Amino acid sequence: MTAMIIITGICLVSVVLSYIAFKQGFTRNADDYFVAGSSLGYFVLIFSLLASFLSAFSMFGMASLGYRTGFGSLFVLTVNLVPLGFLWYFMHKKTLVLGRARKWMSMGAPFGERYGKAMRAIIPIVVLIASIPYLVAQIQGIGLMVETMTEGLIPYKVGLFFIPTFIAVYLMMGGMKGSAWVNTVQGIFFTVMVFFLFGAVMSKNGGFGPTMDLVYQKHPELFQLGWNNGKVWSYPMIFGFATAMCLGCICFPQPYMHSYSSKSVNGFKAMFLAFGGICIVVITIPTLVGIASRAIVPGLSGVQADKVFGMVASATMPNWLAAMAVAGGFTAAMSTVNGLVFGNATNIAVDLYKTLNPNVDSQRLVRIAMGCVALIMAVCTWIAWNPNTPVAELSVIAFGMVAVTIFPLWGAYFWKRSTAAAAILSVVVGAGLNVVFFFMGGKGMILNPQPQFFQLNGFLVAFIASGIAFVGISWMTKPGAVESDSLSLFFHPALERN
Amino acid sequence: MKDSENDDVRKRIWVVVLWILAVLTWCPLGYGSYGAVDRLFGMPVWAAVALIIGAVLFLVEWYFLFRSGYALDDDKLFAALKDLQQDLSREVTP
Repeated sequence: MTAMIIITGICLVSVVLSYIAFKQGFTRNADDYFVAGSSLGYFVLIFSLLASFLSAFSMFGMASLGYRTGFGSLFVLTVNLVPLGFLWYFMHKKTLVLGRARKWMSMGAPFGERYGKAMRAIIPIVVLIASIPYLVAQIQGIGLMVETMTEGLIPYKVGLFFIPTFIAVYLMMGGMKGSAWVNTVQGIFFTVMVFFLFGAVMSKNGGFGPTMDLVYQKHPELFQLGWNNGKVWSYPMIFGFATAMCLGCICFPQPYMHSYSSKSVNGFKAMFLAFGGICIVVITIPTLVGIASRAIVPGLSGVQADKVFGMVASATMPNWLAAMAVAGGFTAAMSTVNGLVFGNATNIAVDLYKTLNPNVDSQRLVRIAMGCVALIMAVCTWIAWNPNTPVAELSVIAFGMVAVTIFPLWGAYFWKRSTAAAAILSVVVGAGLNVVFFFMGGKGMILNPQPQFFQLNGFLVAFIASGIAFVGISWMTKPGAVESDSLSLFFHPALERN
Repeated sequence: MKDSENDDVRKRIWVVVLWILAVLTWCPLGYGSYGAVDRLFGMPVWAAVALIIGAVLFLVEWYFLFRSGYALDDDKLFAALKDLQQDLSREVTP
């Protein structure tokens, strides 16, 4: 009952925040609805970007991955994300400047101006396909959490409907500003709660050192690289996971949307820098909690291990505090769904619908985006109905797939010779290979090193093939009128000076 | 001329340092090994080193973005926007 009250309270607070954004007129026109009128300050930007990425994956998924595979998990979503401070800055510096100058509102805008309408229309489709596994992972995580928190009172399949309905309502109502406010409050909440959980779990066995000693005695393999005959946390596996997650982060819609929404350059830089710095602390904690849980709740495997976060909270904290800790992970999942669904809805409305119907008015565009929010939520809930892949693996697949858009983005901003044909084909090759590998060999082929690929995983093979396609085809084809005309904007001396 | 050349060299050095640290946070090259491990603060040594490298990279990024003078700031943004908008309006107005 306590758990239900906490969950419902979080949902209601989120709805109220969005309602305030709605009442204050932050959704009156497309600029306000999609990019919050470029008015977000430091604090909201930092926590909104953080919360829009940190998810069921970072709380439940990382605890589960740590529990199942040990310290190698630190290369999946903690230290490997610190480079985002400079990578995001370099990749999105022009997004900020040109976005402000050209009033961009969506991820496809830079691609459209640099490569033409076809590329602008492809981006939302690829990002949506890549986002679906990640969104499904969040909704799946929410269902499992609700079931765990209520001790089965609300079954998984009922939980699937309960929360996404709330999310759809407050996203449709509050737009980017409402979403950023909700993300910020949820981000602060789950950041605080992971510290409580860490303290409780480690003190159960006398502190961090003694807890790790206990785990080490029973499961020394969790402390090793290349265990299970070199299959788990081999160097290629670590590099594959680390780069998929880091490069994928660059290419999801959230950094674009937050760059457009940033009020100042310092806010823009601070959110990118803070992201990695906070991840190395806030996501390391659930990972370590997962590893420590081997000594407290042994014997979980596969999808069942996704419940370890809730189970260890129940085993080490008073009921009400355990419910709050799990609710922290729950808000992380909700805020990611906010960010990603909103980003995708914006992409579809602005990049796809508006490209096909250039004369659409601002109000109708906002209504289209609201409809997309509801549709995306419904599709993801339907897919999450029968969970059979753990949250962490689903998320890495999603990040790996979207990472292939990094080449056209790099070409748009830094390589005058890049062409539209190369941009389109590199995305088709990269995303297509990820899909082919998934259907040929399942998630294992994408995530794990493959002997036939010289010990690289499917993601890296698709990523490299996409890069080769981009460079090769750019050399083989001539820039068309759109690409040539765009050079004066994308390589304007004012941009090159900085 | 020499100043701008020096600036370019310094910027490249920054980029190289950032990339080296980035690669080290993506793979335990040079500080990890397969099999049995020593432990530091309860963790395997390679995991502790990875976290320390991450912390160092964070500080280097902070210095580059906010203290080096090579990164974009509000003044540079407004100057760039002014130039861009002048040229854009020139293109639109015959």
